[in-house]
Amino acid sequence: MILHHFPGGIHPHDEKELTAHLPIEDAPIPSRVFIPLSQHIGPPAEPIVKPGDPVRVGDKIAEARGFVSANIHASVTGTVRAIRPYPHASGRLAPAIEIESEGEDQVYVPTKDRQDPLSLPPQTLIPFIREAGIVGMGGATFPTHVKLSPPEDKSIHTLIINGVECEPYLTADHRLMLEHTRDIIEGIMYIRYILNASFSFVAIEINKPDAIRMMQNNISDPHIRVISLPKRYPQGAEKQLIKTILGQEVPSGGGLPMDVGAVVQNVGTTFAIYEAIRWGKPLIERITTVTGRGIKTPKNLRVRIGTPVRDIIALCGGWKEVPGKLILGGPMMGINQYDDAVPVTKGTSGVLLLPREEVGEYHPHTCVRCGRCVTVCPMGLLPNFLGVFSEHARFADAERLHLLDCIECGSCTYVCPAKRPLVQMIRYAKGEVLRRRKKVARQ
Amino acid sequence: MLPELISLTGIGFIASIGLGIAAKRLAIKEDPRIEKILEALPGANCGACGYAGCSAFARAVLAEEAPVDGCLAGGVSTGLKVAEVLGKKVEKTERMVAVVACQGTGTYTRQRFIYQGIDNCRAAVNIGGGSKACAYGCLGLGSCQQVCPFGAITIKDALAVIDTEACVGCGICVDECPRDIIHLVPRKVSVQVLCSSQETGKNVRDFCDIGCIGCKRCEQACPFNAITVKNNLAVIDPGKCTACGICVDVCPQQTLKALLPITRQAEIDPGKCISCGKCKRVCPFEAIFGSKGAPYEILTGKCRGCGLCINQCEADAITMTEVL
Repeated sequence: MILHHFPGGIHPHDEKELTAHLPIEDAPIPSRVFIPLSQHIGPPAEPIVKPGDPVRVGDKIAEARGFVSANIHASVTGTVRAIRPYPHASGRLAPAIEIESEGEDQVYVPTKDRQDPLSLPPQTLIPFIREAGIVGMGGATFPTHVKLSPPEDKSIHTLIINGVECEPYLTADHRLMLEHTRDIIEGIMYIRYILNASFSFVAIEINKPDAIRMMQNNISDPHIRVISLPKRYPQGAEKQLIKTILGQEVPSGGGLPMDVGAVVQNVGTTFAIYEAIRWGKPLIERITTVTGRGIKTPKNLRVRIGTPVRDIIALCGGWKEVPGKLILGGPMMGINQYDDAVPVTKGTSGVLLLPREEVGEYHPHTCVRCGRCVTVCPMGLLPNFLGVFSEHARFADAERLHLLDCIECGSCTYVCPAKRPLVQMIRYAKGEVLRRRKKVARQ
Repeated sequence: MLPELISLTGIGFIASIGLGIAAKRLAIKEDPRIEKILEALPGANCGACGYAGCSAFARAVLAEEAPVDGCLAGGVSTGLKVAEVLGKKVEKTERMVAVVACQGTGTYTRQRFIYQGIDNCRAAVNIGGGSKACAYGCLGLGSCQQVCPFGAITIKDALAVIDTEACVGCGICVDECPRDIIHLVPRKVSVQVLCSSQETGKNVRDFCDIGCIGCKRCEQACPFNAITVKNNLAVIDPGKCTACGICVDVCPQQTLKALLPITRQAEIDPGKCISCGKCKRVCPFEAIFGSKGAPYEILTGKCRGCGLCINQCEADAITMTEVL
């Protein structure tokens, strides 16, 4: 198959050798979990329990508010202790449901056993996904049921399963593909059936040859193709993936993959969809990679949603060296944390601990006009100008240069020799543009 | 030499006639009042009125889209001038001034982490909510300073400080602050709570030496019941506050401050004083002295102009004067 090419991209060292060979371990049940009400794009869920209520693992504890929102379920059996503001991965305090767990044996018992979901009408499968509170688990946390319900006028011909995992350090998706191959393939069948897509691709980066082989050997359906992609960051970004496989660009200015007839789902999400449809299991746990040279024993862990990162770090032997940075997610797009009390959420693909010596101190200076950021931008934008416009509050100019198309992958900041925090500038400008729009709309 | 001179002069002459006619016939008629309004406006093009600049504002005033006193930078006097041009009346508005409700400089307030990024509060607040340990305090990166058209804001030791003389109360900084801790208050003597933290006292002490701990001492000390502590933070009712400054004295955290130096003083008219002594009993500052039989007197320097004695005086002998 001829692959297309998205512009730009970078080649950071992938650092996956720390955890790529480690099988997924089940983390013990934490004594307390803090489950944030906002773990997805869209309005936060509405709690339906109150302090003092007993809950069992898998019980729904918060209801989605509106269509673009997701249900939240108890990840442990125990008692609701409080619903209060708690540190959130975003860096601010956000309301969370605190559950004190009891006992050790809290295995989730499947409530359903749907032997052949493909015999049901496709539309009836979406409520199962919606009920399970599944969101995009690659990190964007967009509610999955919304993605799988395209409007009538958009027909989906291609389903792309994203096993690229281009973020350095992370191996959660890699291990999942190796250890749950058949389940993922089953999940692909379900999604394909819901969307009525004719073509399905499983995209995996070439640095995971074992996963590619595993997938190829287990797929018998000729309509599902496994494709190995060259190693390049951000190959796993939705728009770049579509461009590489279909050769088509998602339209600028708020275009969605469905505009070119494609839907992209992460392998983690696919696995969650399989579990939700087949066994009725809600999203109460996820695979996360605990890695970096700051942790004593890196691991791939299956953790309950709401487990404080502090517990996970302790489980992996604690900090090996002087702490430098604690990042939730990968080093490129992950969010830096100042408090290790933050809980794991549905979108936490990794817990990255960097020792002090690996963390540089930067003193940004003016743009030297080398144009490297322009060369590497996978969206074909001009980060140099966007940065300068942001600095000088010229947001209308920035918008004209398609500011809002930036996917915040961090490639420009990675290569900038002047050490300019370009992504931060762009993100700030985006916020300002949206704020101004709201202001105008109010008037 | 001569033919060139004649021909050039000729061309110049013809062109000037052409231009003259064009200037007359193609002239865009502009209301002469725009020019006059522009003269009255400060000309800073600050945009605080919501228009692109002074001339856009002037046009909007003429079109009756903007109020005549819409120029916030110019304040009352400009409003009066503009109204005069248009022959309208303006209701007198108070001059406002911006106040930063935080005193957490780098010395007093601790940092949670090292922030390396752009010097902009609105950008920094998206990264872990900002590096300052207080989730309510001034981030001190100068977003307000950058937007202030009058140079009234400076950043001193990671805290925005407003020059009350230079500030015209336009309110641009109020919109810019991501923490919403800049407030517009009337530019007169008043006491302000220079803290926005709604944390409990114990937590405030953990990260700040100068924040409101909600101890309620000011609430108890205020003779006018102007202070209430809500959500661990003192709130002053401007309608009741007389700016006597008792609360400023009792505050253990030095969170309460007077906006401008206290300039009012009570004065007793010896001719009217009936020497009843009620004013002496009520004065919280021991600023009235004297004994029955003779008119009472005010001790200048001790009186804070709270006005308690005025309410007590049955003979209307006490008046308030401005001392400069």
